[in-house]
Amino acid sequence: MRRLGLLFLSALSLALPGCTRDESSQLGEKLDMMIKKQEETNQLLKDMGKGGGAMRAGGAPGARGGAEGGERKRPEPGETYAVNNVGPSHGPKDAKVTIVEAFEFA
Amino acid sequence: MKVGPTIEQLLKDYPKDVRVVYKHFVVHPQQASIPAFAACAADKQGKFHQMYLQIWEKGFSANRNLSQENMEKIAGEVGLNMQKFKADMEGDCKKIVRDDQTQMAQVGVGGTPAFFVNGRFLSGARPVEQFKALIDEELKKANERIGKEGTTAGNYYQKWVLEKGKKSL
Repeated sequence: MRRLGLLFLSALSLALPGCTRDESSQLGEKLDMMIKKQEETNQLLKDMGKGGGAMRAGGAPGARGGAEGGERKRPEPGETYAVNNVGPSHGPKDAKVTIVEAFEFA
Repeated sequence: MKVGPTIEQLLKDYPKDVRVVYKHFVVHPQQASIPAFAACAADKQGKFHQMYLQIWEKGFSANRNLSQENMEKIAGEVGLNMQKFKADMEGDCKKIVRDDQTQMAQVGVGGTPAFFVNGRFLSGARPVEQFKALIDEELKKANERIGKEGTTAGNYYQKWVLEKGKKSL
């Protein structure tokens, strides 16, 4: 009985596409697009994880950090680091002090 | 945005001497990626700061609505070219945000907000006085160095921070 049911469903699935080929084709395209988008998002999340999302919180007041990770080396307060200063900015270009702010909307 | 008023205060108090450069560092990608791309896309039309403030106000603070739909609404209000805005969000901005993230991670950033004052690290939303203490120290150093060895205010960061600073931890 179960085998008969499966045969019936298989026959139905072969017959139906012929009746609604346009709809099936549109649906297929939509599905492909959704899968592609999802893959892009997954890759992006993965890349961001590599860049710092998986790191431990800084431990300072008001700082938010990643949820996991082991011991992480932190910058020493007395040291000067060659921090890239290219990006959107506010204040005069020839200012003697440049503050680079790492931020997120969270 | 807890630290936002502090930064605005510093820009007011040091109108000629302090500049703030914004770098994306997305710790919470599911929430913060879309607004990061939106701010980046606004920057490509010269409207980063307006968009940045509006995202905090009308996206984050109002109702935590950081959706694509809300970003487009805000972008429209800021007066952006919407076709370019959407294209940049989907295009270049993904790489720009990722590159910022990598640069910040290389110098040890692990959370937000995080700051480097002429290359010196300050983590978290600190009181304005702590920023001022560091800024004043750096200003003093800059004033002593400018005018010597070809150092000018315009090339100070390049000569004393980028060239002499540590490249990684």
